Amino acid sequence: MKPIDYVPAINDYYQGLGYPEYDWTINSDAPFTPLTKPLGECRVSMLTSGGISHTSRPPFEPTAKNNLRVDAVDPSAAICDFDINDAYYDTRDAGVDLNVVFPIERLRELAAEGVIGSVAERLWSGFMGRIYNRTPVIEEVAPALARELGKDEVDLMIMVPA
Amino acid sequence: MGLVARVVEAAGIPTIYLSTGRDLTQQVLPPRAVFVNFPMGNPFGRAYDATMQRTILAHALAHAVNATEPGEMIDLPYDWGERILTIMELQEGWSASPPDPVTGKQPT
Repeated sequence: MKPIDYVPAINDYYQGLGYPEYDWTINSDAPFTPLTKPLGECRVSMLTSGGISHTSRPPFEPTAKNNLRVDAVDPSAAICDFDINDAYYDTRDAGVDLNVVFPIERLRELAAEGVIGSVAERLWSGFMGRIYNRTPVIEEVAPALARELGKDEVDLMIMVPA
Repeated sequence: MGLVARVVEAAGIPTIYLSTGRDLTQQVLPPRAVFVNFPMGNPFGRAYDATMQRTILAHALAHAVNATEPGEMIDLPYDWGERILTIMELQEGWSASPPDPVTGKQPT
């Protein structure tokens, strides 16, 4: 099956509501940091933007816009102890098996088998909802996350948008 | 999220990005991506299908090891098996907040 063309679908939807044309970020090159260790020695972390919060924390706002909240997530948490609040994707499968969007059980298994070196001390959930104001993300919140990853000596980061 | 991947990568930490929106990902261009033609919200497949979840995670990790070109995205060979619906189609009555009638801007 051909991939969905989301750009025109989203443009049509929002312009149909009366919004001006969206100013998409379009990049022609990307930064690149080579992975220098074998996978079996890598400490791996993961970020979800799926509105996923541990039950010990307040829920996310499902229709959030420009929400800069980023939670640290205990990688040993039980997958039934999370809430999902995000109006921008179909959360039904994730609601019964978190691994479809945030595969913490699969990650733990790969660490136990030695496929990856270890799961980092903290996983992450943030940047959910719709973010229109990109400057604080690029200049403040994402760099702050990168610093935390550095503290945890993360070798590889899995980024899972929802 | 692609922007976050770029910042983290530029700070010296390699990233691997799971894409379910191929054209969206090609625009923002995270440093490395695997595209899987599944719905948004199901990048690792279906509930309780641990085998597929693991397979896709393993593909992502392998691409993190093997990618050499900045922005390189590979397409994974899995099919969802039915038509994928966008959230706009799926959720009856789904609507974003309309723009402010005066400024034309998104309410905050």
